[in-house]
Amino acid sequence: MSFTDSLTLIVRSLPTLLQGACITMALIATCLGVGFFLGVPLALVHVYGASWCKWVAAIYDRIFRGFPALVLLFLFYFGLGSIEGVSLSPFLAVVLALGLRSAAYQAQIYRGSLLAVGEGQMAAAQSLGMSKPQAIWSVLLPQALHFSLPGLANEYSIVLKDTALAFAVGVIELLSRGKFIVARTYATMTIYLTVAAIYLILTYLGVLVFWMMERRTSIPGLGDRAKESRR
Amino acid sequence: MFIRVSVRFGVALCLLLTSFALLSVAGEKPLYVDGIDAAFPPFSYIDENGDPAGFDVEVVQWIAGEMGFEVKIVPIDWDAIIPTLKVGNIDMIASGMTITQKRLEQVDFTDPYWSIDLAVIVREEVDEEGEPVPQFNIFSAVAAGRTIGVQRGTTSQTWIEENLIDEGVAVKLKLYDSFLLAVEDLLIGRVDAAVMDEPTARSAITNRDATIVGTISTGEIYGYAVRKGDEELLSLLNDGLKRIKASDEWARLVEKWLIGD
Repeated sequence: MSFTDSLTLIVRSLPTLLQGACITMALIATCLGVGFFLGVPLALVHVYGASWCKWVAAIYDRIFRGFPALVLLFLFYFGLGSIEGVSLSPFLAVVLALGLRSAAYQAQIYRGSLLAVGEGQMAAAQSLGMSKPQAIWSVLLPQALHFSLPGLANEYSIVLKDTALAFAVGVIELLSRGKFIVARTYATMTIYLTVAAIYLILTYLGVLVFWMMERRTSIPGLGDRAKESRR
Repeated sequence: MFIRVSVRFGVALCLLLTSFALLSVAGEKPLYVDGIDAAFPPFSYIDENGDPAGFDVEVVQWIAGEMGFEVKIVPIDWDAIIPTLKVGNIDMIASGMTITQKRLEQVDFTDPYWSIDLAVIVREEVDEEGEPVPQFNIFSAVAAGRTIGVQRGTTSQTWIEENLIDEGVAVKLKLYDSFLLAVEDLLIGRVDAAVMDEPTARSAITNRDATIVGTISTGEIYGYAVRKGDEELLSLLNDGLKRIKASDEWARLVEKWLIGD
């Protein structure tokens, strides 16, 4: 294929690839969202929970960090789907499988960031008369959120690539759109390089958002090393 | 900050789930979902506009119009297509699918509508006079020591396993997600030959340094698959097939997709 032919193909394929990218973004937003809403309570249980709670959280952690993402996808889509009366759309299956998995990984991120907030903070809060839950909610979690942002940016870029598995259960996202174009035109390198470039842009844009959040939530007095490390 | 982020995520999640609920509201005519392998020209693939196209796509659309139902065509990963049918997320498979005993244990098939053989593709090399010449012939392409590429889960794979490997011919089999990847590896040199359905092979070798060196007469028959026991859809499809084969439309579609280059 000549260079101009390749360029023409890329330009003509962009609309459909970008449509796929929208589905990919929808997937990652919902998966990360599910991961966030479940991951924070899980992390709190990991760090502050009663022993039996910690046990349950540990089992959740082993299962959802232990199974490969694709296996989880199939278990949710075909396993749950084959139960009478349960109708799971492919999108929902992906959100559940990848979201619950992300929750397990995010719980570890928040656990680390909660522990990074000094013990002194909890002691100081309690000495001011706050109960433990109040202290966690008003003092520790906000600080922990700031510390969790680098790890979250990492989780974002990982889950973004995991969404490429969604075609295995029928969600037409970016990579599968690329596959269809390749099947029609046989222009493998051209199309897959374009798809890779789009993933790169999506990854970098998301990571930029997390960097901005890091700056907005930076804790005064904690030093400027963080700024240097954000490249 | 915490609340703001949570609320935004929560709203996004609710919006998405609601929109999917709304999308599943039924129309007037019965709607059947047709799953296809979107990387299988000329029977089913996706065209430049992102719409499903191909012989089987047009046949099913014609049958739907004739028999009075709506059809929605969805690309599904080939490895997962029968499980997806069984689970109920699609109602039929119309995608150049061969009727085999093993598949009959899982699904019901319509009457056969087309018959194909398998083709063996090899690389073309350039000889002293600058003429393209196949690297192997039909016998040396599948002889002992060769590596053969096929699409996973196809009759090509089964044929090679049953007729070569099980019979003691020491060929190596490489499995691919799609026949296209097998052809890519053939051109790179990772496999010596690629075997696939003949119509697909003819489309795969256009504009590439590969050629068909022979066909394997399996006389396989294609049929459309439905869930076991889905009598209603099965009879709709069978009736539709009878009608389209009796009409001019059949000749036109065969001419357009399956004959010639």
